[in-house]
Amino acid sequence: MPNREMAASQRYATHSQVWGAVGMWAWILHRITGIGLVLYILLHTTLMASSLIRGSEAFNAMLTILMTNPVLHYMELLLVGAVIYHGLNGIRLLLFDIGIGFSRQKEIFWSAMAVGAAMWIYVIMIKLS
Amino acid sequence: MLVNAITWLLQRISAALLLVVLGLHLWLLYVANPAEIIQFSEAKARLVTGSYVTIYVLLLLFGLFHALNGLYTVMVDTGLRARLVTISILVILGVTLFGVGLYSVVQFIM
Amino acid sequence: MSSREINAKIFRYDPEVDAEPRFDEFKVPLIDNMAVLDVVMHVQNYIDKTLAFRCSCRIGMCGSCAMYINGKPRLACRTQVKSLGTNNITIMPLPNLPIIRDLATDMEPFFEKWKKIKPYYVGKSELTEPAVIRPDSGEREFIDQMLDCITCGCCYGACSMVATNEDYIGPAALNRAYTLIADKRDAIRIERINVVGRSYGVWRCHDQFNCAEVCPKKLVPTKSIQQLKKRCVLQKFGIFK
Ligand code: HEM
Repeated sequence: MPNREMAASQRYATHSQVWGAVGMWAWILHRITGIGLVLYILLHTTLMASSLIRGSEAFNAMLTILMTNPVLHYMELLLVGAVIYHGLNGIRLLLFDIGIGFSRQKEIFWSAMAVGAAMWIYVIMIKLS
Repeated sequence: MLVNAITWLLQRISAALLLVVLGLHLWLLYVANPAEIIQFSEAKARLVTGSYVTIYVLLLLFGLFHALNGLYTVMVDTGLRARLVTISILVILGVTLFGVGLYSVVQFIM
Repeated sequence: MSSREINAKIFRYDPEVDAEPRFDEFKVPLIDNMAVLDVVMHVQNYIDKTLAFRCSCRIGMCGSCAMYINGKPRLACRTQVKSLGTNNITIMPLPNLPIIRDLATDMEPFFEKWKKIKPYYVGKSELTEPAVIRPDSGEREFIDQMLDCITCGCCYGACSMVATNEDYIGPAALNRAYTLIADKRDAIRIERINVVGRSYGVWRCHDQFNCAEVCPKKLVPTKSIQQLKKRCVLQKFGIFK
């Protein structure tokens, strides 16, 4: 039922969006990876310090757990991928901020992604070998 | 007003500097020293050089500012009203994490 | 179904009466060089007289007929059915604006923000001679292009930052502000900078380019907004006066 308190024209919003712009997807991914990285550094700083406070033995024990767990091993690849994406798209955004690339934004995005894919595959190969 | 322009600029500056220090951090871990399991003694041996320590302190500084300011941007984008409370919480969180991180770095050079 | 026929799926909603909006489907004969505006006109003239939409000039000058057509805001009069690549057309009202009825939206919020940046030229009173601005100066070239805005609201409807934050001034008004601030003769540029530099001004833009993607005049408001960000920062350091 429409809410009678509201002005009639305010009662419904279509929430239709534009999904065709490359920049829109680039932004969503940038935001997701950014927030993911924030969660990661919260975890990273607290884990490091909380093991170091108990001495070097505890640190080695902690890293052995973290670096031998197969699930975390794959999560780590995701983490590196997030950094690579966020960093490369970050460069694209910084270029805009200094006034470069507005007419070539899609090409810049795809070039950055090609570089990023190469970097990611390289890290995956190191890590899984 | 003033803060808006300055934090925006600092977000860009920290991003550009992160590109360098975070790049170095990842390079050191994945390319230069791809250890199976990181050992305290090995990390300590690396961190004796002043430049390593500098990298990690800067990484903390820029990383935490960029991360928490980024988080604040996301909240303002979606219509955050309680600005002062949020900023206070983020500043306290940032300072605490910087202290915690500094503590970790110091453990390696002691 | 012949290919000479269009299936138009049109958003119907009268907030005074309907609890929920619905979609009505209409079959419209396809004629050569038909624009989407012709489709809705055909529906209104021959099938359902109660269909509400807005239009005026029919040649892409007045900016009244912006609608959400097959996934993005477009000017109905400037959108050839053929360019859509399909005979199935879904038409909805322009997003991010209140709906008056069917496809007619209330442009009030859009123009409220347009007013905020004082969208008119204010000359420096001490200038007695006409200012000399070379027509071939690069800066002039950029302003000229950005002046083509017809306030149709396509960019406003496409902007995801407007969608998530109703206070955000939005691409059209910011673009207009830029054309005025970049004008050397402008007497109130600092006042304008102070408006666009507020929290719900330029800082909410995150380079998604949705505005540029949909602008029927091929403007790039993202670039104007970047120019404004730069001037806001420079003004803080006393470089832009
Ligand atoms: C590799 C270097 C990095 C670069 C070049 C970079 C670049 C950027 C840029 C330019 C922005 C602004 C986006 C905008 O306003 O539209 C941004 C936002 C953000 N960054 Fe980074 N960043 C980097 C690393 C990081 C790291 C390590 C973190 C987390 C710990 C992070 C978290 C964030 C967050 C949360 C945002 C806000 C998200 C948003 O506004 O959509 N960034 N980054």
